[in-house]
Amino acid sequence: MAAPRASLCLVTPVCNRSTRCIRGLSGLVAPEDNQRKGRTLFQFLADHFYDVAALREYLLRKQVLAVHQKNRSFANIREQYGPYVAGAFFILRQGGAVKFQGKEWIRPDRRGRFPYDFLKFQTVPVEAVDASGCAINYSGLDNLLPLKELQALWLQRCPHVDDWCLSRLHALADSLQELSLAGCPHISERGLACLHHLRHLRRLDISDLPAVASPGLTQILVEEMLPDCEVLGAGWAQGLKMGPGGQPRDASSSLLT
Amino acid sequence: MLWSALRLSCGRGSLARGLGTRGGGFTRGWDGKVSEIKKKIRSFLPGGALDPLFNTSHLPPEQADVVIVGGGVLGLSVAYWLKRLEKRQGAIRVLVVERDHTYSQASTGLSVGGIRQQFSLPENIQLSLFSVNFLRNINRGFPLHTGVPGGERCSPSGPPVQPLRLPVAGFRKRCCGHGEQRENAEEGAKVCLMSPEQLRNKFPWINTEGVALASYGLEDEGWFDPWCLLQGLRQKVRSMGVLFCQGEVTRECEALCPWSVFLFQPGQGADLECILLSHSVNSAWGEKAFSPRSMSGHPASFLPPSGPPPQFLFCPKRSKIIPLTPSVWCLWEAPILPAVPMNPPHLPLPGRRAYFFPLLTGFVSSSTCMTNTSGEEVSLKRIYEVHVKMDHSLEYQPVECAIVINAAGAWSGQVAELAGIGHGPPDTLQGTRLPVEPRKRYVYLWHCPQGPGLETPLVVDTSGAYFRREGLGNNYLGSRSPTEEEEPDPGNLEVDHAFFQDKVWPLLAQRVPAFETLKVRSAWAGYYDYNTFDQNGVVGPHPLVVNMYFATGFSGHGLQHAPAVGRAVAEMVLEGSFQTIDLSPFLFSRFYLSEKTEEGNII
Repeated sequence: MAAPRASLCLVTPVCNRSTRCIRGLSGLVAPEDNQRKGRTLFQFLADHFYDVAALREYLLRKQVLAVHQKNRSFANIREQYGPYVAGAFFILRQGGAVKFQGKEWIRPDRRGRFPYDFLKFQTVPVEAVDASGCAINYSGLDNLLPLKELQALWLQRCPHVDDWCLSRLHALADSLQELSLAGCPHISERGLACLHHLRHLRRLDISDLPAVASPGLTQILVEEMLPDCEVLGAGWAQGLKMGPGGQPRDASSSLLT
Repeated sequence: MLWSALRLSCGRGSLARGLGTRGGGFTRGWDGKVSEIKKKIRSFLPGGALDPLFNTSHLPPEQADVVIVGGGVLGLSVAYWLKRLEKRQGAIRVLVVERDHTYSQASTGLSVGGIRQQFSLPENIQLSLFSVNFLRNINRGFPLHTGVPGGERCSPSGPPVQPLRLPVAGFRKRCCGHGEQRENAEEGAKVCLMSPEQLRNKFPWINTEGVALASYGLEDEGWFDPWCLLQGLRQKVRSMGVLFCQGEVTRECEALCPWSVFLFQPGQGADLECILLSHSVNSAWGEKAFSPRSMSGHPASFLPPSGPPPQFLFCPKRSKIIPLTPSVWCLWEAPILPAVPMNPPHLPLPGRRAYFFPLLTGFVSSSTCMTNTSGEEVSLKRIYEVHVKMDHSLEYQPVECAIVINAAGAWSGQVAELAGIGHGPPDTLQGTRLPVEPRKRYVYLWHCPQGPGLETPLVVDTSGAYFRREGLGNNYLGSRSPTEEEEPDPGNLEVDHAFFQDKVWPLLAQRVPAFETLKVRSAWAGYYDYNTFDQNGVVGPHPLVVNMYFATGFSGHGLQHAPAVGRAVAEMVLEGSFQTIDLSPFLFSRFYLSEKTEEGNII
């Protein structure tokens, strides 16, 4: 190991951030930290020492593998119990909630445990899925797409749902009536353009999408694209400043609510 | 560390300030001098490139395992996969030679950036599917190596998204549509066929007159930003340890080299006239004319190619005369030119090696003569040196290499010619050229406030005109490939606006009536690396020049196949055969055997 070329300016921040060096790892995956100006001690060490760099890569790979493992395909359950039960099991394992047609919502408790009596509902279609905050990604959608009678899908604040996932939703076009994408960090206006396949959609929530460049304009375009759908999101006046006559005038920057 | 401590102490102490203010002119160049001294000391320390006589930091290294000619998306993709698939980290030294780091004429940056799976060849469909998978995982699958701050890369392509790609097939293309959809479905691409009524329901802004069928890509199709992909690949590849060089592999003409090799004829008497050879061959001896000059500047007559060969080599540096026999190695100590032994100018004897004159040429190769099973003599060549000429300078660096990859895009034909491909009697394998040439294509950007909305796919009309949306502001990109008769001159990248007025706009307005009122905002032109033989790519090694591999000639769909082709070439180089996708229909030998691998869906 080479001797570190330490310079004095790094001494003070280290004291404040020494406890963040491991937790800062999750920031390496989340997009908000991409714009963070300061470098954590861990990143600095990783840039200068091979061992620390290997450790960082190992930890990152473990995170990626964990997400991959969560999104594996439950093909054996699907063969045994049918697509509805497999989809429900997948969502419940991830921490989401599921509602069968004519039944109540099934949610896992705080410890992640859920009752297994839904295994009897092999022919009962799934009506609504609440996957808020779950780590669903592109390959995990394989378990959701066979739910042909799905009417409501809530994907709020899912960290791994991106534009590619939205392009797969055309398989649910016949039944989906409500879709919520609020707070997903990786969805941009390009993904929203894929939603025009969903012609039965009646409610769409696209508020608080940080990766969308101009939320107001995007909402107008999405409303034009889906004329029968009620689009919730940034109001069209967001991002406009009030001029002297009380009329909204264009502003150059888009705001976060 | 010593230096930083020294600077700190110098900065803080008043002594240094006192020193600085002692003489007025003393401090003026002090910082520059300090940095130069630091650089010199660092070069002496272990790990630094020591070159006390000349500053060669701008030159490429003297040796590299793989030299990739061309730094566009295909070349960078090959470099990426070579580094990714190598058995041990740092096992292969890869050098990417790109003559223009601003990519002002490169096809990658000027491309429209569409990606689709709707091809008629199954190999093309597989290439597209692989590339789409690559693009989808590009942010995840690119964990950055050390040296590049984590997470600060531009997301190269967000998903092409708007996976909508809609070639609108007319009556004459109907059978193609069905056949292709079957092919696409077999290979796993999700494409659906739509009748004109369905088309009108879905996209009311289309005029479906003359349309029999439309094939619509539901997933994994669309467009992306090729510039972001290029820059992302560059950053990634640089962090993996690939060396870059801004230079050109070209032939120098008539340049005088200060360290030249002098040859003379035996029998010219004791009064040796030193002949300075300033032009050279890169293929068989005697096929190109020499243009020698004597030391006094008068052009001297030279031995005709058919005459007796030079048999002696005069090394001015060593001041001795070395007889040239096939078994003698000449080691030349001049910094630029190695001297090589010569062989008789007629066909090299079987089993003997012939070295060609290395003076100022693009590639230096050696050849071995072998006989094949039918008793014919085949001369195999192997490139062992690449001469990289620096920008705006006569300086060049010979790079010893084991493998050369030709990913030069529209100029691949010239690079292949430098390696001697196509120099031979016609209708032979030696005489088969690489049929890739640059073709100019225009792209126009226009604004149409009443135009189709956010759901617009990339629409390809029956007439060949295509367009797609760009951004949120009702801007559209589009164009049409000119027919053979209308081909513009590829000498420059000037845009012909009349082409849009006469040939593109009427077709667009006929298909999308809203486009009758549009305003062209800007336009540009770029090159297709057009394969004049069958408009499909050339991938794999050359049968005679055994260490040159091609990754070029894709005629407008190179960008969407780049990741997959890069992987195929890397597998070919490292393993010797195609592993993931079998691209044997794209080998070079099809030009000699006249087997066309035609693609029906070229835009």
